[in-house]
Amino acid sequence: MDTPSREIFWSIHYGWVVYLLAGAATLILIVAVLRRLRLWLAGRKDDTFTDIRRNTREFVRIAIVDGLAHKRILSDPYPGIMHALLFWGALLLLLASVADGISHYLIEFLRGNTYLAFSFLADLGGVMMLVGVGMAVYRRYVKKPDRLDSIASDSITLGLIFVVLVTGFLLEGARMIAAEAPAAWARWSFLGYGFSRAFAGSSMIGWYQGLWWFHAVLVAVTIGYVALAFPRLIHIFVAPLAVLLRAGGKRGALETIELQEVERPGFATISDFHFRDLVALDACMECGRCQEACPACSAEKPLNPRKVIQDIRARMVKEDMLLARDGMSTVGQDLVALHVGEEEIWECTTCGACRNICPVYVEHVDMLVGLRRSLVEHGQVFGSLARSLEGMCLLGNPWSEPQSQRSDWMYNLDVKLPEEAKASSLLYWVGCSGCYDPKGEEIARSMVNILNTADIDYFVLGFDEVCCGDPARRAGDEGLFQHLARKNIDTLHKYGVICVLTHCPHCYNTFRNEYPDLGGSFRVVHHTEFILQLILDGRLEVRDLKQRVAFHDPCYLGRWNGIVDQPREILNKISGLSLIEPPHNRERTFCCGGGGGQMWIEGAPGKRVNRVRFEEFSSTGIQIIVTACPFCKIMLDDASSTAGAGGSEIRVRDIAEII
Amino acid sequence: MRIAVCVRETLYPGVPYEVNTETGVAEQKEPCPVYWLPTHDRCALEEAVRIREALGNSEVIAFTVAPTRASDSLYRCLAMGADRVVHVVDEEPDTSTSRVVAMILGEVLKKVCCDLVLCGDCSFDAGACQVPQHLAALLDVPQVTRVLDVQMLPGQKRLKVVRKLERGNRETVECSLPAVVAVDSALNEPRYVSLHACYRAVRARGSDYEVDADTARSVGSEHRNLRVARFIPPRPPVKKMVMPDMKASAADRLKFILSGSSAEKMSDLLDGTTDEVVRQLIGILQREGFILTQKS
Amino acid sequence: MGNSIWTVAECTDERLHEVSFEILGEGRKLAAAVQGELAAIIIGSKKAHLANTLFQYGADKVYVAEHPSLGDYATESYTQVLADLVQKYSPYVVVAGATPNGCDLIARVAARLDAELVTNCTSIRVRESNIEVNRPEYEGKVYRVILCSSPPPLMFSVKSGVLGKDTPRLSRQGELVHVEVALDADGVRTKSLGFQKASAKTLDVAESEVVVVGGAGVGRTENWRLVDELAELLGGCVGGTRMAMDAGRIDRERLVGQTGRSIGPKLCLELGVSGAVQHTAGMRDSKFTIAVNMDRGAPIFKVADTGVVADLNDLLPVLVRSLRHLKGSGKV
Repeated sequence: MDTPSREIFWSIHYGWVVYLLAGAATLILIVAVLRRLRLWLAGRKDDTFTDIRRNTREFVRIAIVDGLAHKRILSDPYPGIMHALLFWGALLLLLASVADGISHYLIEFLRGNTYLAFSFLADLGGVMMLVGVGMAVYRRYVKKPDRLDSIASDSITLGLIFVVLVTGFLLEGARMIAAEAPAAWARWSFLGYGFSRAFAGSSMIGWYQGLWWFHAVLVAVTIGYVALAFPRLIHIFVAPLAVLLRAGGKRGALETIELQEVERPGFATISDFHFRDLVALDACMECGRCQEACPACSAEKPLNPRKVIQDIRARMVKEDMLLARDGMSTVGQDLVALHVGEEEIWECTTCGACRNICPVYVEHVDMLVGLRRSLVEHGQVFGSLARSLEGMCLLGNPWSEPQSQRSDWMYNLDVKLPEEAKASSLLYWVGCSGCYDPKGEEIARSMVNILNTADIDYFVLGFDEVCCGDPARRAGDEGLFQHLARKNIDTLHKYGVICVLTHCPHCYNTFRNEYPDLGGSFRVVHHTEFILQLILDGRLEVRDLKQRVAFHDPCYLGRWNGIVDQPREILNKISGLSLIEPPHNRERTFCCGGGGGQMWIEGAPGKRVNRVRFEEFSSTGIQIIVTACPFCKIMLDDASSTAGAGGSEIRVRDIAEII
Repeated sequence: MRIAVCVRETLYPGVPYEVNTETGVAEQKEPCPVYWLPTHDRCALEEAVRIREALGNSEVIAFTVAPTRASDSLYRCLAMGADRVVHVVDEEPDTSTSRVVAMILGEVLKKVCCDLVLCGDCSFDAGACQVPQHLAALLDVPQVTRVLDVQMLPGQKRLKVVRKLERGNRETVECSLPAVVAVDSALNEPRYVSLHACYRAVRARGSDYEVDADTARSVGSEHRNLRVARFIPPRPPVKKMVMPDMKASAADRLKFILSGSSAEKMSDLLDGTTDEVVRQLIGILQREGFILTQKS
Repeated sequence: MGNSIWTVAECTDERLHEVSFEILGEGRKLAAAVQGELAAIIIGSKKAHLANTLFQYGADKVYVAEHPSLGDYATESYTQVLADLVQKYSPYVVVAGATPNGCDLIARVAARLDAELVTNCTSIRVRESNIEVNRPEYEGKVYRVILCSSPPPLMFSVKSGVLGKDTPRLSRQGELVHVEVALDADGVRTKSLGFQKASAKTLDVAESEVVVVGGAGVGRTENWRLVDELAELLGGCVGGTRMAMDAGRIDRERLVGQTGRSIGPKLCLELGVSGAVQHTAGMRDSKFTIAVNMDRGAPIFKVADTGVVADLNDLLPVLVRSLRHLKGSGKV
């Protein structure tokens, strides 16, 4: 040979058999996916094609950002790097094979330096994969993190991949000896070269042929095994599909159901789920990051988001089996929600940490709320939550306080009422906590103070306000939510409201992201955005405050709506304040435990979520926790006053009260 | 098996209301009056539905004697699981004493032939606690009141119930069917009905909603205005006087009284060693009658 | 006798219920006003000896209707007996106690006789030669005053504890009348299968007259055992705050507060409870509250009638010991 190159099937007889093997393996793979497809097709398919069309651009973006650049996966460094190595290593090897194929059957371009670069990259790919496998084995079997559970197929698959890689290198080494490749060129395939040094001197042709066939068959076996017996690795093919099918709709908004058309909203059986949800179930490879991120899980409550997804998946398989066996739907008798566990379902705070951190974009929150809807429709709501929902229905607020007392918080306060409103007025939406809970009222009063000081043209609704509906929707009572929402939208239209200011992130999220679907499009501003703007415009002066504080990002503000900088900018404008960041902050904030209707749900025994979050602050040596949500304030204040003996010294204040 | 449930919508007691001393009618301060189906009625309906689910092949019918506006509650009954509802329209609820209501219900139920009648024990407004017994006498069936637990015995001809007596005591009673059972609100936890379920009932179950416009007018009319009544406000409760702290100086005590005793209430604090305090405590308990020493 | 006033006496546990004496007091005044005699009715089995106390409390006559099958209260047999009696002797007024069985009985009897019944009266007077009664409505926010002009017999029921008892005159005597009871025993379609008396363990927080509420300040397990014993000694039951429930000391049914039960016992003992609003909202209706807390500034002292600033570790054992001692020497 004068130029570096490699002959295909060198010294291998009947080499074309490998194409049969590859074909067989591919066939098995396709059959496996098609089998799953039948399971997924049990779901609702109505919006699938509209979803796909809408999602294409987003899909490309995610493919680049997460698929190639591994953004979400790298949020956890060790497994992130491990996966990147495996992914890129496999990609390199795949590209190498494709290049090889092209070079031998179409245009021969792998010659000379191109070939050397090619061999180097191929070897690099293999080495990356080996390192990745090594990292995986170490992590899964030596470090044994809590969120991983290992089944037999894990070790078998890792073993198979390892052997495939090692035999690949070994046979490369053997070939180098047998083909008497010049060292200067062979060196580019560095690991193979290393092995060849070890075998120097022996006759390797027999070894080479043996290893070659062994390697080829093993690759086919591995692909077949992954397709048939190992649900986790199938994410390679299913995850991209799941992402392509993702629901449209704004972040922060739950699915709006056309109640006139639907008998019973909610996911009672598998066939109520969307096609895209069922695909997502198979995209999950049980990495457990959602479990680690879930605040309820950290508080040792029964809820485990990963287990929820697994349970629904198991149920999908079971329903399919029952359907095939019994023909008719005997499966409909038994709610999926009961299969997953009612206790688990009611523990969710809908904070979104799970779906935010999921590398394959599984929407846990949507599924859990869908399950809650089915429970509500079947009357499986009890205790304090049932009473709270009743209260919302009869009296328009989840605290079950009289509607006639909705303006009591305004006593002795100079507040502008609807009669004084002009067409251009800003509506200050107070929200239920602002009207009824003492801690919420403090925030409302501070806000009124600010609005009056800055001489803003605003008004408050007073009696005409009813609950924005967020707790009802999160608890799964869609009918009640739409009833309340429509009432509010009508009221706002009556007063010609264009812009709404609120201090509650839940109301903010509902008005901004969920009301448009029901006919109410308003411009919504959160009080942190508003106050910052006032300060920047010079219409508001901030006082000095010499304290050590930390800011607790509310889930519905930071995570669901991306408002994380404004509160911090406000705090930075207060001189004397030293701002500490807790470990979980910004979009990765840790829930206070009050969302998702939790304020009114009794909950299973276990540590309380708010206490877990409070402990994170108590070790930072701060004096005040600043937050921007009345629920957060109530929950953290409760945690503060019940911490240890006699409560903690740390006080909890809203941004509006600090400035 | 046919189970009748007698319900009645009342004003929701959870919001502040005043009673007009001229008319004796309660008026809420809410923007619109808030009505609801009281807990014990829901418990009765829930129990009926549970019995039907356990036995199969049964029918649950809800009855009410109420004005037209009570239709919402009846649709809620349908949503909760009743097979049919019968609305006996009574546009003069203020003159319908328990006796009249019982007579009307008796008339209606006689035509229906039920195996079991369930109703709530005592209503919040008048609180007469008479209707179930009166109804049972009219239908000539046995009655059990203040029931906390219902068990259908095999054969479906007898019931075993637990009655709530005073001081937390309970009595188990066996009763033959047909019977009238008046249930306590601790009987069970009624299922939740979502607003959507109620709307569905309104949309789809119109045929199960029967209106009886005549019975209320014809039955019991001679009993409607028998009682001449007037209303008086309750005696104001004895207010605990906030006494100035005896340990304070005379000037402080005067200030306290002159400022209208506006200090917050503070309890009498007992002082002394543990033994002394315990003795004082026991003395207080004896004085208030919580422990008695037998006169030897 | 056209003008006789009757009261229905109720027996529980071999003794007469307190209310039987209370209604005799009101009956006495009525009898004087209508110039009639006051009679009491005892229905039961082997209860004739109880008549003496009824005479002491003011009855002129006691009708005793006895039959072996009347031993336990059963609606239909008691109704039959009482209705027959009323029909035979035609009293003007019949008053019963509004106890569980009393309410059950009197309403059926009134229906059977097509007589007017007014329940839960707080006073029964004569006015303009008719009977005028007061009764609370709407949770006591208004009192309805009814002038009953229906033909006799007029029937009323009175809740226990509403009227006071007169002082008994021990030497008083009266006429005892044994009444023939003709019972259709087969016509009785209910049967009492037994009674379960409540113990401190089974007594429901909302039904107990005495509730001992334990909070975070109780602390150790031995102290909680003392709390249990205290409740038992006082004839009540144990309640708790959210902290106690989270610590596994009490079940959810014993949680007193905004998210738990609302109670209104005659006596509420708050031990080691700080008195946060979420808890006191649940025991606001208690008639008498005693609080024990180590912290003088605890908000519970704003709610309690009597307070003790002490360490429960010291106080509880002494208190329980003293009460145990008292009980041993005959405390009721």
